[in-house]
Amino acid sequence: MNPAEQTIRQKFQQYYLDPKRQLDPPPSPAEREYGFLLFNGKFMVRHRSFKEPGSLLRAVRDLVPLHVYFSTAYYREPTAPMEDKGWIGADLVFDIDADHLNTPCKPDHDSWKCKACGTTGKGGAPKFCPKCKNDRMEEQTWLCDRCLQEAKEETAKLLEMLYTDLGIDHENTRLFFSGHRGYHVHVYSKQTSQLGEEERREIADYLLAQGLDPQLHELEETSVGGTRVAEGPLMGQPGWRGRIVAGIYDILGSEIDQIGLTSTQVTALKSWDREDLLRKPFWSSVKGVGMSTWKTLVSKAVEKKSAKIDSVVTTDIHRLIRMPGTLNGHTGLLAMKVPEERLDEFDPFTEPVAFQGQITVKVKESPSFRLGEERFGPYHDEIVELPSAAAMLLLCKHRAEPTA
Amino acid sequence: MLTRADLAKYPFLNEASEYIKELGISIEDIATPDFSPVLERAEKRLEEALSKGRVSNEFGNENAEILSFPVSNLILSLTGEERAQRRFALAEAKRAYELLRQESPEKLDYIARTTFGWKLKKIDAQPGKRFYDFAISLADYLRNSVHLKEPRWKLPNRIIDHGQVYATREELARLLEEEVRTRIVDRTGKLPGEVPKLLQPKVERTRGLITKWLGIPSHYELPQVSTPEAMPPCVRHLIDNLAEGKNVQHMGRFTLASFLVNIGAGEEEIVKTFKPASDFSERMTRYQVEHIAGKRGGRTKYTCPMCTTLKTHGVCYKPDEICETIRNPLSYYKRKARALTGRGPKREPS
Repeated sequence: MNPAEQTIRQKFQQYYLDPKRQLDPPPSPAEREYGFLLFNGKFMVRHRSFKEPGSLLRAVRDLVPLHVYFSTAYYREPTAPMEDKGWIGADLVFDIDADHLNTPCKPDHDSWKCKACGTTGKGGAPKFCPKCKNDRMEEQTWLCDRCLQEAKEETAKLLEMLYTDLGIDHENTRLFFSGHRGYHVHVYSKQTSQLGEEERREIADYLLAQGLDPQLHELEETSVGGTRVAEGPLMGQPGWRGRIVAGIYDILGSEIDQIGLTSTQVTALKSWDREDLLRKPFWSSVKGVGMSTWKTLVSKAVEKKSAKIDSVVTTDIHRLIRMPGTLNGHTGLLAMKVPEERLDEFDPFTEPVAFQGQITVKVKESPSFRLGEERFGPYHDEIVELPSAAAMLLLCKHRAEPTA
Repeated sequence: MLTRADLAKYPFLNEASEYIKELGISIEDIATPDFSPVLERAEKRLEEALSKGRVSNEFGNENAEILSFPVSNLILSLTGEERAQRRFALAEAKRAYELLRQESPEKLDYIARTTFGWKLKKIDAQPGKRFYDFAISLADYLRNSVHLKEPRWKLPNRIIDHGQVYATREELARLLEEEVRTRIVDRTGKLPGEVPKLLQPKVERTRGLITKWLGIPSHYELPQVSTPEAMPPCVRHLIDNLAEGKNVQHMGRFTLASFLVNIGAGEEEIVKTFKPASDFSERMTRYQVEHIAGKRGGRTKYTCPMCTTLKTHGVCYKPDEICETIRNPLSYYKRKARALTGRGPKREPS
């Protein structure tokens, strides 16, 4: 364990040993597998099971893990090897993470390095190294207000679609802040627990609108009295139909000149009364705006209205997922439940703060950031005394070392 | 709700089993000469399914039609031949679909609800140009639609309202076909307890038919290409699925055929790969392979679809490390073949 890890582990231990501490395990806790990522060489202890929350808390206090996970799946034998566990069902889970969002601030605070040839760059890591085509990347990411605000907006869209379109029950849905760059939604319901991987992929594709074909939503060209008009779905129709129209309505009222249309098309669309979209399924006979332009508008609308979930998480029916009420080893922040009605006002830089006091650290390099009401940094090779939560964030992010 | 004629059309229904129970006929009876029309019909069902992948209707003798179905199931389960069970289930399900699509919404609703336990609503909605008769619960829709790879079945292309997926009458019948197929596969896969001796010759005869039409059961052989070990996981999975008689959808078949064409496999080899398919037709397969190879139609040789397309269509399977570095299955083959042999494949993939 290096000095930074020693400090982190010590603070985590203090946190978990607090007599007031309680863990809030998921429903059917005894049928789940638990996993702990330990400090010592990042070793993963898996296939553990606990009959009640008390023994789980004891294990956490004992092991002091960097990360605590539980399985979204329920098993007959949670401690057996994977193939003998006896899968009973799994929660339907969704993960929204800034990693999957294309925020414009990323080049300011994220960077990557190709593990093969050492090429570096700013922003989110590309899938392949532009120089050597290797796919193994080292990433340095950062928490920022803007990224987390976008993650929140994606989460709100996700929840709306889950309820209105997919008929998911409010009662069985829980929302969590991940303690890092996003939000998790867990659905604990009999109706969805039996869905297989392929079925979950369809749900993920629905939320992402992956494979959506506007023609199958009846976007087509027809002729009315000799004029060619585009005909499409109508506002208020269920599912993606109404959502496509709502998206186009929004775009026409705001970013219409930023989506790559020609100035003639933009002028034509601006002069057209977008309220027409609300009235009839005949979208337009706008001059210079043909079918391909409408298709562009549809794809922009879909981009705007889809919820950017990580489909790998949703489709994996044996996944380990972070346990709410535990510390996230990437940040030292608490992964925690967020009451849905409070999502809008929830501040991921205040409420998940888990540490009090001050720590002095030597910061190598850090972008500026906010915690609570205070702004910190940017720092460059300097020794600073910081509130523990800020120091822990820098230590967990490998941006600082303890001084003592 | 259902008449005896309905039971003859849909002998897999719960009501059909109850009807047989009420008649008080046992397996032993079936094997006696009095019931020879039943046995004959049962064998014909099997023979048609195995040879043509289709089963015809014979409504002249309704009782024989109803009774022969469980007998076919029984004989088939005794052969223990999974490929044949799949092919039979598919043929019977297709037969049922052709009839189901002509039924009234009320009858379809009844069958879906009582035999298959679906949660669905009869609706009367026309949100656009099409008219929808049903709203099916999301779970029932997904369980059956995931096997169907045409874009219209994809969830983002459906109208969904509060967990209810809209469907037309024809679509409901198609989804029921999937449910029927699964049910028959489950039934024929189970081994029965007591079996009358008289059925034994029928089982032997069916084994003969299976060998005749589906070939000798064996572990599959990879098609003869220069480096079979270099095939990507998706292509191997397609070959495995076909070899096990599982249904492979259009995009999967196209991927496999175009892949094999492009790595230089011979036409005979390719056709042979498709032979175990539960709905194999040599004429159709040959035609399509020739088409893909550019020997027919537009004379364009088709290339293999890109990985992104395969992901969308659910053909991508357990991508490995090499998959992360390529965008087309053909590049996978090229790269791995080079690694395996230390040189390029004999015929460059185009």
